[in-house]
Amino acid sequence: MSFYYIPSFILVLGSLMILIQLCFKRRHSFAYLTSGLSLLAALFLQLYLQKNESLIEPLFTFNAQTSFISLLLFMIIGLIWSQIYHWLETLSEQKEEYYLLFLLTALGGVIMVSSNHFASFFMGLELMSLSFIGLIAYCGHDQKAQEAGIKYLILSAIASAFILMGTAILYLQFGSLSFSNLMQTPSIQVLPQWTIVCAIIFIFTGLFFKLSLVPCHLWIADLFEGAPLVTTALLATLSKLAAFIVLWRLMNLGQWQQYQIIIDIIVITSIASMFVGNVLALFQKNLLRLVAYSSIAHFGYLLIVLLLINNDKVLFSTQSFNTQTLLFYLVAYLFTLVGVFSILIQLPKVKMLDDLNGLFWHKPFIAITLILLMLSLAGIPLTLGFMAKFYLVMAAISQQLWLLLAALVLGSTVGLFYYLKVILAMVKRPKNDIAFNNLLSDGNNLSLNILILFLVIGFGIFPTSLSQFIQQIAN
Amino acid sequence: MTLFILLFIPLIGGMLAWYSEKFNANLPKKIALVSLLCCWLPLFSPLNNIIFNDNSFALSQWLLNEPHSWIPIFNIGAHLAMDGLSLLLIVLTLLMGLVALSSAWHEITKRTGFFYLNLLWTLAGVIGVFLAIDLFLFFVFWEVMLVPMYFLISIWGYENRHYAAIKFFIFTQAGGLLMLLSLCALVGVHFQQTGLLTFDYIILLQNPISGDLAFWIALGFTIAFLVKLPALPFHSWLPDAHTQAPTAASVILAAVLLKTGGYGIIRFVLPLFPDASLILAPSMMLIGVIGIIYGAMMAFVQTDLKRLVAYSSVSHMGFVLLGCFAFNIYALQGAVMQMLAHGISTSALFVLVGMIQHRYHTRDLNKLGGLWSKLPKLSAFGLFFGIASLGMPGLGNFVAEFLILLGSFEQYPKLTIFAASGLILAAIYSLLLIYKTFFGQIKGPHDSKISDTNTKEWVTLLSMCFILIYLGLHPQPFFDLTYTSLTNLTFIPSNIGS
Repeated sequence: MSFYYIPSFILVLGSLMILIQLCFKRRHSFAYLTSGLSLLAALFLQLYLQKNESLIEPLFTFNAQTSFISLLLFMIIGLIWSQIYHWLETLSEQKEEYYLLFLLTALGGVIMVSSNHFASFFMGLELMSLSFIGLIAYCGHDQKAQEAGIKYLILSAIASAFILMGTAILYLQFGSLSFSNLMQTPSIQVLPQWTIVCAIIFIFTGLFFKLSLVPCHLWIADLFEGAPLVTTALLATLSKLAAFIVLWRLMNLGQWQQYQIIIDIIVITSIASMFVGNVLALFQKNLLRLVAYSSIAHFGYLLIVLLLINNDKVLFSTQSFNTQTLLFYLVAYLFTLVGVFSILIQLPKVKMLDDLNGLFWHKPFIAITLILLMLSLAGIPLTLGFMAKFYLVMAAISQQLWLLLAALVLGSTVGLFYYLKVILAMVKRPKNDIAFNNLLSDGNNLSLNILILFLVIGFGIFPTSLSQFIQQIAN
Repeated sequence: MTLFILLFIPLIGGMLAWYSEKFNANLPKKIALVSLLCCWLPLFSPLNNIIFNDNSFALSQWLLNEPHSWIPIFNIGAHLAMDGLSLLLIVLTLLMGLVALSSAWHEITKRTGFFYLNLLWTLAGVIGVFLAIDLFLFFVFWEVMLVPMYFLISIWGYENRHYAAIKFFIFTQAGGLLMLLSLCALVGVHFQQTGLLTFDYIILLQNPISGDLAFWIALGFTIAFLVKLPALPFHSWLPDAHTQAPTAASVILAAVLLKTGGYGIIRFVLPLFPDASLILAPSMMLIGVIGIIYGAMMAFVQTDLKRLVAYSSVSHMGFVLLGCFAFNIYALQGAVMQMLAHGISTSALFVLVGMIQHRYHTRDLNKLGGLWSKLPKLSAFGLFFGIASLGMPGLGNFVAEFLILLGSFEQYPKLTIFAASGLILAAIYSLLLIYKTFFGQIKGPHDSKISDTNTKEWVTLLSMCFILIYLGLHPQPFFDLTYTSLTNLTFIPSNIGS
């Protein structure tokens, strides 16, 4: 057995420990520490594994890129975990099971990002989705959370059904469920081409649902609003990261760009997501709904990466640069988003935009962090979000994807409106000055905010080390 | 390091100003003043060279040139350089920074620390725009300077400030994104044609790109600059932003932020895309002329003093556009002169409007009148700057407009005839402004406590008068300073005689 499996085993071990402990005595702090330690150990092992050689097994593939993505995943989970304790204390439910489901979700995500086989991919997907249902409907008394849980259950089942159907058709054609066999052109064309295209569309439908891309986006705003905050943070980062990585890997390994209709579908989905996401976000007064729609738009931008075809004659149009673009964008967007969520966790009373009024004058540090995060989401220079957008624009210009670029410009311009609205809400004079007086601002939150600022602004101004690291990985 | 120091002084000054608010609400403005004065120190040696040995700067275009590496993966450098053109505009920026500070001194009483932080950071951003020679760095400054300006308008502005601030930000950001696309495309095409990946202006300049894409890239850059200038279809953010901004922000907007548009065209569009800008020229001249006439006519119908001055800016900046695309050294020098003179005269008008509003709490032309009898000193300054704005000979604005018309008449006589009518229209709205505000019946509330200009105010205004008169009577040093930069534009020798 290879070293590569160890981080996942640690997660399994951690969740088993919590289970065993539940049988004897319930203690919140113990579950917190167990999950934290296993995450930390997994994170450091993953860091250590960065330099290992690549390994392809029947079910999984491990190389520099998957290790990096797993590392990114662990870092995001870790950042979310560090906020979870105080937040769970405010809930009236049993607390220990949350950590269990939390670890299982992480495990599902890690399995998905390094899967090399439809079986392992599906296992990871189901592990993650089923744990999510528990996480979403965690607060039993909350009607909205229950509704969101049911919604996710049904839609997730439908999405899985679509993916299974697509997998079955592909199996009929290729005779194998391994991702690496998707590439081989079979000697006998068993099925007509349109069935394969159909299968691809089925798989896309399932994954687009997880990524909440238009037209499979209708669930996301209700879910973001209804689910507990930390679950929302996981849903927005972990599940989308895993799903997008699988989508990208399938697209590359199967060379699905060869089908014109698939390219058309991606272009249409991408443009539609940019517009629908940005325009719907404009009308939101609820912060979480706004973040939900903005995430639709961001994954719309990211879909451009799938259309980059290798053509070494043009500047920046190598496989390596496309991978770099994808990785940089994911790093930038996910860290920014985790930052936004951790600020929201620190402000438990804030639900609507107007609740933010006066934050800037009472808690300037939190407000400045949130302002910079919003600017990063909007893609203003000197933030990580801008560098990501710059990568994307450079790559797209090399491929001359003018239509998508025009949509990107229009979408970002519309997007500015609502990011500015959030900033504006913070600098407005408050109706009552006491709203933020009882906020806790302990050292934990402060250091977390400083870390986020360091990531988003530090790497925004001096992206060299990050981009060189990503360049090494992509090669 | 001189240029980097110049850039960092206002940044650090702003931080200090914000921090110092904790101790005393009056401290931030003093720190802002000190840091603005410190900004002159790095400029001392280039200014000294120019004034005392005339020949040194004629040899090479760049007075100071400081390349550093920044993001090696894209070969992006932190490359700052200064030539005569940018030196002039930086001097203008720093002067107008002082003027803005003077007008904010008593006007801003709330959240002073954050105000001066934003004021200084805007100035730092503008200085960065004028100094950046790496295109990526230029873009960064171009976008980043908007953020503090956004806060200036949206926090300290007047009644409709949020709308105006958002509109300002969105318009300029949309232009900026277009510029980002063009910039990346420019670098991509340059790489294809030369095999050299660079964002450096000086290197890009050596091999101007050609082909179909060049036209579209040039158009992208031009539109981004037109938004900022602002030229006609993209001007609608300006009246709102000016009207709602506090006086200090209006001064910065009118005096330096608009100039970045003109600067961008002269520095980037014309030399980087010589062929494309020849194709663009007729339509740009047309937009310029329409802007001149439209701005003047809109200024004439305004009843809000600030809107009137704002529309007059649209009209005046039309002249800059006209001068830039006339491909002629006279017109170009006129355009630079217009940027300087308009910067000073318009910001002086905004300062005056700010003073009137501070005293009477209205900017409505119909509610003002007969100020001369009550505020003779202020009204005299108003008369002076009103007349400057209509282009009275002997003042900087006249020299500028005359040169622009002279230069463009050579290329496009018919358009220039229409443009010249802008001078008459300017006279109409300027005189209307003077007449309705300072003469006529006394309409304002009869409050004997309203005092005339105090020492700080008239020193500010008087020094602006002197600069305008100097620009008008002895403009030659300024022409000499920019001559090298402007003649380096490659097309000028080939076109100058035709």
